[in-house]
Amino acid sequence: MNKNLSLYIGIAIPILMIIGVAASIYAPRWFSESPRYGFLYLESEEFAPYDGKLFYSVRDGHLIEEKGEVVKIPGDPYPVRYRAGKLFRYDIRTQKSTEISLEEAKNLSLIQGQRSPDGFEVICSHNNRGNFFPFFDGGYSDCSRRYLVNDIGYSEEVYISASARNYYNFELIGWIDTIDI
Amino acid sequence: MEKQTILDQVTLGIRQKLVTREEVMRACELELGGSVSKSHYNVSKLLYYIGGVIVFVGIMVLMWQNWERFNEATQILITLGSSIAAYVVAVLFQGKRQSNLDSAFFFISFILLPVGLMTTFYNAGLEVGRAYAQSMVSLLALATAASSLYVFKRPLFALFSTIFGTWFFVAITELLSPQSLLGSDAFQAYRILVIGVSYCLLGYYYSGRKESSYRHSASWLYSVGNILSLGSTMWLGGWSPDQNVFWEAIYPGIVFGGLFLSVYLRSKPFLIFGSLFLVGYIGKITSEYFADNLGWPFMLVLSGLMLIAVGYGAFHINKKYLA
Repeated sequence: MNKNLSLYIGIAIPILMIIGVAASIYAPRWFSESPRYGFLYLESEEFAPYDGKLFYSVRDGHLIEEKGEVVKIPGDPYPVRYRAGKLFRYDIRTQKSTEISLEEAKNLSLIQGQRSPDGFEVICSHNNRGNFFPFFDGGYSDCSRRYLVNDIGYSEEVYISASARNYYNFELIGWIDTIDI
Repeated sequence: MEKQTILDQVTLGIRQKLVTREEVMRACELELGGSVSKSHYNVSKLLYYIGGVIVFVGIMVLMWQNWERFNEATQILITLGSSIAAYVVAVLFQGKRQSNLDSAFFFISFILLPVGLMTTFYNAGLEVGRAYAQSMVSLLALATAASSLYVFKRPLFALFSTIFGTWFFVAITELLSPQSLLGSDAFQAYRILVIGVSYCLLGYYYSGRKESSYRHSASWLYSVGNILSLGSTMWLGGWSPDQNVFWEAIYPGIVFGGLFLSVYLRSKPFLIFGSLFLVGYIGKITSEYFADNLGWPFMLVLSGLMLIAVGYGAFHINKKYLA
């Protein structure tokens, strides 16, 4: 092989990888709309049993307070009771989290579910081996950073409160209906 | 007097121990003038670089001990200022190429440059530990080394360009990929693989250069490149039951390809590391898939025999093609 060619290829390979990485992040944005729903989340208190504690629920699209033991709905993998703590509103337009009072939170129209109506969910940064052939999933979650992602590959970092940057301290309560924006 | 007659007489004198090799070399130097003997040249160059490292350590200790006492300007002056000053001194010594003193000061300048840049960025309010700041520092350092290489055409700048280029590659890919599809583990392996392959290709380029410094660099690049590429591809193969069948299946081809290249390139690093990683692969596969079936003792015997075969093969290749 021509020696100058080896120099060019040796420099080109890392450059191509940089371009490929950038494309894997930004290309999905060309094929997907940006997220349109903000969300209400809880920076919960120290992990403790639910029984006898004050906690929050979503009924008929609004936040309410309740006391008593947690009841899981059969077939629903997600809890419908949340521990009390500080409530934060994540504004999708400003990309900022703001602490709000219980009264303000009760006035919001909420859509319950782990996925927003436009297909986004909040996930932790995941340390894994990849999700397509010939790579296998595995690894662990790094919840110091969270992202709004959809199935197309769109990814946007969300800036949540500092103490909620922990797997157990962050709980998504519901997506804020755009009627409130 | 015919040349061959002269050479025959010199050979006879050496055989009869009437003259030594050093005396013959010295006569050549005296007549042809200038250069010191190769061993003296290497020792002085080594001392220059050791001195450069000690200067660097001294400045780091000075900064570490007095960081709180120095104001921002002083911090930048000591670090970045020293780097720039050393560079200027090196340029002034350019005319005295035979002493290689300029190399010593260029070396000091470039090992201080990243520290100077990070100190400057820190005092400007940037978080120097974050990927964006690391990308900027490494890019500036790379630009300085690459432009110096273009102007002065010294192998030292090629070395620093490679180091800073690698740093920039790691930082910029870290910056761009918080939620890469590949994820952190596999992504690290692919980055290392890309660096390893690039080093091997750069080594091939340097091996064709006339300057001996480039050819020495080729050997180091081949060694590091082999370690990185063979190590990362072995890691990508994974471990049962989470193994990656693709990488495990092609790994022997990669290793034997490296062994073949050792003959083609006449390169011992390819032979040495290819053999070592083949040994590692044999151990990995036998313990992964055969330990439960054939029994641990039988697997050990089988592995040992394969290692003997690999060792004999490496010895044979070295003797026939590289020695």
